[in-house]
Amino acid sequence: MGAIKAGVMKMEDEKMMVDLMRSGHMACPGCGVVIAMRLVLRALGRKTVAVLIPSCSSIIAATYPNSSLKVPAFHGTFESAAPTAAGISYVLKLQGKDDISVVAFAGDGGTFDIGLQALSGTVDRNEHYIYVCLDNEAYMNTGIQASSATPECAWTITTPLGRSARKKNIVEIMAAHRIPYAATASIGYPQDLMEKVQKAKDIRGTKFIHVLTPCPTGWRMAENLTIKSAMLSVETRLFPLYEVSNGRKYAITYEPQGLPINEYLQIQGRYRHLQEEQIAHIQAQIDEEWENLKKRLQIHNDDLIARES
Amino acid sequence: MRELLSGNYAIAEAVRLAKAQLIPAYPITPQTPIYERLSEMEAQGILPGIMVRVESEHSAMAMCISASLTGARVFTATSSQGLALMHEMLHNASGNRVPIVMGCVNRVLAVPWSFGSDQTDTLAQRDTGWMQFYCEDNQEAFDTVIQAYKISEAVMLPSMVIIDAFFNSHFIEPMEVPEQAMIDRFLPQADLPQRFDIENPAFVSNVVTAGAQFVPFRKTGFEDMEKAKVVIKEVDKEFKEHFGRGYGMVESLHTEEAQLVFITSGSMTSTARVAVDSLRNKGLRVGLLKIKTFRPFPSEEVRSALQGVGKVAVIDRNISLGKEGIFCQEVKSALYNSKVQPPIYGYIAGLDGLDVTPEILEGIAMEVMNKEKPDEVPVWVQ
Amino acid sequence: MIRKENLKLVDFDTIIPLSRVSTEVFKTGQWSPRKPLYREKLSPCREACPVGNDIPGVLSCVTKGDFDGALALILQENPLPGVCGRVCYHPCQVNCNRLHFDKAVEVRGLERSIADYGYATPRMWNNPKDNKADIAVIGSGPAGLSAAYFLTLLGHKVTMFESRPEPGGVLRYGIPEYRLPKEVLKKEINRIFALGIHLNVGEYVDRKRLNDITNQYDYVFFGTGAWLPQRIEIGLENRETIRYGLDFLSDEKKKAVCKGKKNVVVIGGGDVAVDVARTARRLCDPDTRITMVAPENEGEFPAIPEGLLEAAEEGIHMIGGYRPAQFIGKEYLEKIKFVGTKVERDQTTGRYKLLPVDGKDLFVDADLVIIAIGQLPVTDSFLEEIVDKDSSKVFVDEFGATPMAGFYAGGDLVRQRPAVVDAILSGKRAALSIHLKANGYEPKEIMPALRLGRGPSLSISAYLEDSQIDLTKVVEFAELNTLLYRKVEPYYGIKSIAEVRKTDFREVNAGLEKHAAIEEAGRCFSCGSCIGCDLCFLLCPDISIMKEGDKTYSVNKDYCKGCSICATTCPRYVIEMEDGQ
Repeated sequence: MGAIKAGVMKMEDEKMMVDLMRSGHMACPGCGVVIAMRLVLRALGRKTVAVLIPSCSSIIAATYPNSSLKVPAFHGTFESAAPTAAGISYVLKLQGKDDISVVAFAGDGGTFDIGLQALSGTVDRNEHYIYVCLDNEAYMNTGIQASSATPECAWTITTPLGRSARKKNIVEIMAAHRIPYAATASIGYPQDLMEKVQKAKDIRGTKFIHVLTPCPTGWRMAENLTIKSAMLSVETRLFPLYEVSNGRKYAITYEPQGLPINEYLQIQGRYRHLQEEQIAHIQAQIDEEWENLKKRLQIHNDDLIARES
Repeated sequence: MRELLSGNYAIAEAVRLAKAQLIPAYPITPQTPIYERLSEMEAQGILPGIMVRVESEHSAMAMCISASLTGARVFTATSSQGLALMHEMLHNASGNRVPIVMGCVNRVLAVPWSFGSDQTDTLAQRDTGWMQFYCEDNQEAFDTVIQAYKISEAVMLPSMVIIDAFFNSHFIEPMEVPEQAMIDRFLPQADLPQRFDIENPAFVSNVVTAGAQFVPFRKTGFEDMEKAKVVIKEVDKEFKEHFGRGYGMVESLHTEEAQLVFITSGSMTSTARVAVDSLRNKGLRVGLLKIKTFRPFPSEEVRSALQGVGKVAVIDRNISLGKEGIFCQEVKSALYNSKVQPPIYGYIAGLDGLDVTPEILEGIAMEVMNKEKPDEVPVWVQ
Repeated sequence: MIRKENLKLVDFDTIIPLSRVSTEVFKTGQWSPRKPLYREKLSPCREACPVGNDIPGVLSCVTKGDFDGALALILQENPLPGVCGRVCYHPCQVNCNRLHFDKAVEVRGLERSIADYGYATPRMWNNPKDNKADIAVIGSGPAGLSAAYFLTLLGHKVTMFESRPEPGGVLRYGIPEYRLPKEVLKKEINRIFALGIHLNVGEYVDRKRLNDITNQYDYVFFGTGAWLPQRIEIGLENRETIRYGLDFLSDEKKKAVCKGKKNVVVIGGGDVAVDVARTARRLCDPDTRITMVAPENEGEFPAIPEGLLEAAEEGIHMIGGYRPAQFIGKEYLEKIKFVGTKVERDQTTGRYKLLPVDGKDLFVDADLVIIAIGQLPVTDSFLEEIVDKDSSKVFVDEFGATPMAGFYAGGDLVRQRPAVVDAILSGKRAALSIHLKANGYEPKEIMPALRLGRGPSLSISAYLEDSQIDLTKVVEFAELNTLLYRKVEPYYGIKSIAEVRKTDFREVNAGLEKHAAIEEAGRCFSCGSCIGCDLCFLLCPDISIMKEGDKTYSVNKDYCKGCSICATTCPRYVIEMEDGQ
């Protein structure tokens, strides 16, 4: 269980990395999605083809005739990030260009909702590319409508009293498919994120990375708090940083402090209406999920021990 | 080489010989034998391409599009519900200007649920920017797949090769299957643009702002679809030179100075030939206009074939609620601004695979000859 | 047409949108006038440090295992890190921002580790265009050593005069070996003299000698310290059994003094008193009772807390709230009468007075009393104009100059906290003062700008290197982003156990092991000083922060949308947002 050396983040290969995004894009000031895209592309390098679908990320990648990406990219349909990326991946292999990585960027809507069927299909076929879900917890590009990634109690324009259903656990859905590699990552921990992307790049098959990308506009939050809220999401254990290989082998890649969830909730306007009981309820859910995660980790460790003895 | 093949198997064989590189597909009756045969070929090691057993037709088409943009020759096949599910992606494919060839087996669209032949599924996609070729028999289906790749790759627009459920798809015919080398001479390896170039990266097909940027792309597509008319005829001519068989965008049989011309498409055309012979033996100057290419619509050829014709009966194995049979609509609109103005009688026959016999067609001919004017709405054949 | 296989009917490049034009045509910097400003600021530890050590910079080197680099950096402001790292009262730790998070960083222990593990030669700053002066430094204690060191680095020629046989002053003759081993002191002093300073030992500078020196040299610095003990004369006056602190500590025969004594009382609660008590503990029999009695309350003795703790561990008793009223004995001391007292400290002058507390008399058996209540300087050699009759201290202004032109002073000789690090500061201050004067500048025009925050010290490197750090803005805890840090226990140096150590003079504190030092240095937040963590650079959504070097960043104002993520995320408050044009 490797913990990040607190406060000093340096990647050994950092000197080799270049930025594959350009300034001048139309992201809102303080946008979390673009930070994630930038970090993912840094980690992948210039030999990358990106798939984008209707979402904030595609507008950030820019409209004709501009592009904010320095890698080739393609704009597919909303629910088709997965098969679109897979199609490119298959043909690149046929052409002998297997050293080119394919990455699909999809929002939470395109992953948890309309794209879930295709995502399940692609993982079943273990198609070779990296699927990055940029999760800002609602349909933000179309103006803050709830998705199944919107957390319970969160305000959106279509759930003005707070959403009544819980957020889907997409990584566990991936794990249930026995995907070769699935992981959570946060823009507050760029080294961890980039390491996971690089690790994914070297694995054959479908890899899924779930990045929580705070959205000042949709979360009703000051635009300078994007990274702090990302850090808090991790440190409160709301969004633990972990990875699972082949649906079985769990590893927590960063040990969170376990700060109280209210520190995270109170900086976001979309939670302003919460009552004490609701906050306690959310805290209880987090505690339970954290225990569940540790149990899954334990199962894996027990497996290892059993195999060794 | 002479072989006995069903329409589905004929298509599969053509796809193999055309060396399609990536074949994403999903099963649906009555297309399944295409999919199964291709899988069998892959397992036998004789298929040059890769099958991808996707989880829905929508994903199949999405995968075809991105694979084609990457530079591969691709194929898929579907029918009815599957084709309808793909609808969004059909627009997407023609907008992306990718030369996908898709086999479509006409089957009725639910509801009511059934499995018989009905052209409404493909015709409902006529506005999606795909070329559409309706095949009469299995030989033609095979030949059209080969031609379709050449046509599509020249004009960079996708095309559907369409056969009837069961009448074509499952009925076995003797047919000629050329050797690989002959096919290769006619249809060389695909030389498609590889849109994802690391050295000269572009964001492909991203959002365009405002009408001014959108219109030129759509207009170019329109113009290239017009060019396709010339290309289709050229390719067909060249195919005839190579293989001895040609089809044209339409085929007119005995239409000069005919009193009545049947207009049919698909497998019904074979039946119509028998009815035409029979009627002619009975003294009626009956002709037949087979429409093979539906998109781009061969307006000029239709006008030319119907010049001087007395009456026209269009037999549609399809229906557009609120109007009439779709071939009938298209024929009327092709003639409207011209001097060729025979009365056109619309008939709806054969939906869901109801058998259209030569006797039924002869009956239609008698009825048309005896009716002074066509009705406002089509006549439904019982 | 199609017969020509390669004829293309359509233009591949225009049939679908292919976007290649860079978005850099959109100057999104116009969206907001707010832009980040990188400006390093003062950390509270540095503000509090009398010698103005660049603590964040130094610890940053240690985190990389670069003890040599750390030492080189320390030597720019402090010539005696091995000494301070053992004896300083560490005001840095008292002001450390990490105190508000978990516990202060062990800065003193780290300074010691750096001196122990690092190797570096002090960097000469001399500018060939500067004037070279001849300077006499009288007294080779920490003040004199500091003055000599900095003057030499600035390019001047220094000659030192020391009355005792060896240099070091209170470092050698006052601080016991279990706190400051002689080998360590030797290494520290050698590093200074290796710069080329001439030393005359065994030479007491009287009035006449001073006259010669005055004529011979351009400037004179006095660092002769305060060696005259403050006396208590209350009854019995037996020199054998009534001793004084520094005299006792510097007495070669102190073991004989302790021989046979059973009840040793030490008057005083300061560092000298503690050293006296602990020295006596080592020299006396194991069953001898050693007691410190001070006017302050127990728990409020002014000595460094670590010293008091170690003394208590070694079995030294402490009684607070009393002052001696009478030494009782026939020929030799037998007991002491104490009366209750209360300390009242004047906050502004730092002077204190003792107020009586009635009804609290205490008699303590004593066969040896050592009085350590303070020392006064010997000022016979000096001209009257520069000596304050009341305190016996030499007058100096805020730049270390005495009222007489050309004469400077520092250390315990002047009015300041009687501590090693404050002495070092005074020597540095006077050295810079002399250097400026020698080159035709007025210290008052330059030196105030070098002051570190509201603190006592000045930064010589700020003057020499014209660094970008804002010396006036001190970073507060609330301005830091500590989310990436977690609460951990500090790494403490290894200390030998009391039972064993109280019998000899081997160093009590073995210091931190290298890896522990590196870990402990990692606890430093580096308040106000960039460590090149790259968070601002990596996390800018608009790729508007450029990396120019290891710790240098610049802002691309054409694209920065003013979101302020960089400023808010920076763990150490290096970036502030400002409204531009």
